[in-house]
Amino acid sequence: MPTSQELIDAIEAGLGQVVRPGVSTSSEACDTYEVFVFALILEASRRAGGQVSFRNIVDRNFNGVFTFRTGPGNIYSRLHPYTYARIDFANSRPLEAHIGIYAAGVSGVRHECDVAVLRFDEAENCRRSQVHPRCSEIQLSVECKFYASELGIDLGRSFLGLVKEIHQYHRFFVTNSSSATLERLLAHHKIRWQREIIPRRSDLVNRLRASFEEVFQNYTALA
Amino acid sequence: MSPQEARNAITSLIGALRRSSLEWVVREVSIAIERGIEERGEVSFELFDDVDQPISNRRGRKTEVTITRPLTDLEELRLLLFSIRAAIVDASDIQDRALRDLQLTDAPNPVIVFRPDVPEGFEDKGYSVADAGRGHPFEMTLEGIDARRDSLEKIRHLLKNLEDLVNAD
Repeated sequence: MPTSQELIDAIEAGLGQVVRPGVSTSSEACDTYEVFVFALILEASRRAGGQVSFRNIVDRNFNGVFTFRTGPGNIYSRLHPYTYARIDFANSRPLEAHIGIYAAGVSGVRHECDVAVLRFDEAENCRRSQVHPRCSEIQLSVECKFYASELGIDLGRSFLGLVKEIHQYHRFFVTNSSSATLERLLAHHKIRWQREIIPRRSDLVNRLRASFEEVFQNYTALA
Repeated sequence: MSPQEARNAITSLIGALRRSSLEWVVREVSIAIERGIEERGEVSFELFDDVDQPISNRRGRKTEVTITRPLTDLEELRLLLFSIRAAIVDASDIQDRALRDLQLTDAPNPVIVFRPDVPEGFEDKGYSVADAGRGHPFEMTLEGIDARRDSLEKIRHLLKNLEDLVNAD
């Protein structure tokens, strides 16, 4: 059995093979995590009967390269051919799923939505008028938190403030990590949250996907 | 594993992370260590006399309270190992799953590029997207992940062995 020091030395040697300096950063992990949750939402929409296709903001033609923002931006931004998903349902108005867009809260102040699903009509109006979507028109919004360590309570406080501004209904706090304190805070305020959303926790991933699926089911039922 | 052995392992791991350009992992763990662990407990609140001595016959009922305590050396080491697994192994699994979930029949080798959304001409004037907290442009491909897969599997295995060693007692 190797000693702990021998194992640590071997881990360090392995890190040299997988870490890309300047690329393997916290922000890269966060950006990737949003795409993972975005894909999960799309899968939920398919299970609820939706048909997913991809478009880019510049000319709507998707060429197989997904372009996403490294931070939040404007839904109407044409700086890069940012990709979004269009979700068509048989008897309901189409929806769109976006990564990292601003939305206007009830006070009129803009807020960041890591992943947001909204009606196509709202999104198209916003693109044409170059304005932010209204939070009342966001059908589903997810705050994604990828942390190597435990989450701080400040993230929960911040999310409580956010849902006060962008409505509480169908808003999710999703993380790869966990924190008993933060979970107690969110649960106390009846906020929807899910911890340990990572590929190897398929039980929790499936539970979250089912919650997303329910949102789409309600959307099509009310159409 | 003794507390001293745990402390030695913590120092070695932190050094390894810093030398591997993973300062951000050390930073996140430092914040959690500094924060401590919050726990619930029960305390009987008392009344005190004029010279700050408890009035022995006026002990109150037990009340639920919140306590913050520092992590033990073993808890700290477990947190550090959890963080390395999250930052390296889980982050890579997430990349892999995101790419595979977006894989289309007409795009069997999907490429994901990330680009900051900043005002036009932002960098031409000398500003930096990194300074503005907008992250770095980067790309992800399945080929890139496949190229690192063997090394990742090795790290996954080594971390498991180290965790077993820490949890052996």
